[in-house]
Amino acid sequence: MGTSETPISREAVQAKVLEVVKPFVKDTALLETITDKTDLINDLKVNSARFIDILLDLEDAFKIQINDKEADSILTIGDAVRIIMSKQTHN
Amino acid sequence: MAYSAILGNDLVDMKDIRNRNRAGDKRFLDKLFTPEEQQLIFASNMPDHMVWALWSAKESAYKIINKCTGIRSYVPLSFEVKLNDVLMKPYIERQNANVEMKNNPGGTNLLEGTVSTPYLKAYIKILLTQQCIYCTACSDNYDLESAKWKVINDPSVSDAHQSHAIREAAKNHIARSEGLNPEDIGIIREQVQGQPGPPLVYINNKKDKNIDLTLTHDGSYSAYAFIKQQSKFS
Repeated sequence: MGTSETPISREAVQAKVLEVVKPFVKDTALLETITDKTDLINDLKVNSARFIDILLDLEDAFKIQINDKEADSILTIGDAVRIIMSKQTHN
Repeated sequence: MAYSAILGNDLVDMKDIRNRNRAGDKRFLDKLFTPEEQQLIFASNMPDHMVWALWSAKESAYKIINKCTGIRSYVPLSFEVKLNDVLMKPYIERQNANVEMKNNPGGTNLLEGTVSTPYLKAYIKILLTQQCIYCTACSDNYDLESAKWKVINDPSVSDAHQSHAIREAAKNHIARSEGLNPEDIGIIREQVQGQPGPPLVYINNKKDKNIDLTLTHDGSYSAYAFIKQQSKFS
């Protein structure tokens, strides 16, 4: 996917974020009630070490770079979608 | 003067394949470790273990900060780990701290040092075995020595029951330490701003502010550390 050429919808970004996150969630039942406010660590019980793997996989999936400040602001699914959408807007 | 020492801890199950071969993953290292820390990793004869030793130190320091301030901001590169000695030394079990790990070839090694953060300096002890990395951090070096802790390895306990099992083990240890019955002890995580806060110790249904407790688990390992606050006079 070329983020700079063809911006994708928020819904498509969210779906792809969930695809990336899914392998890191042990209790898949938790994925059934996901909203923008779902907290990656507290709600989905993602191990903090795996959070870094999620960041790397998001960078690969969306062909973007997520800097320290942006990574620090990602607590929820909605935060991840917001950061990725902002990169599409700015590219 | 009243004085509070705060603990944080973290462990990493090295049997998890996702924790292996990370010392050669430059992108991963650049996200987490300063150039000086990466030098420690490259110079180590157990580079993958050093990766997670440094990680567990940062995580443990972060837990102290989160507990003290509620702040969830965490930029790993702004947390700098310094080791007193880059050479690992054999860990000798003490009465107040032990590692319950059967079939532990190679023994247990120890690293000590500090983590400097934008908020505070934490003092650390890191235990390394072939299969597990464990760190206890304390906001005060003197009190780190008196912290009581234990690492438990029980592959038979499911994820769902691991939290319960480590709480029970911590309750038993606190009860022994305080001369109480385990049923007198409660461990509760209260909600803080809609999220689960740190574990709090209750004795006979009353919050005990003098005992600081920290819990962690990963894979088949879990661990607790606690400290009874000391009174110091300036």
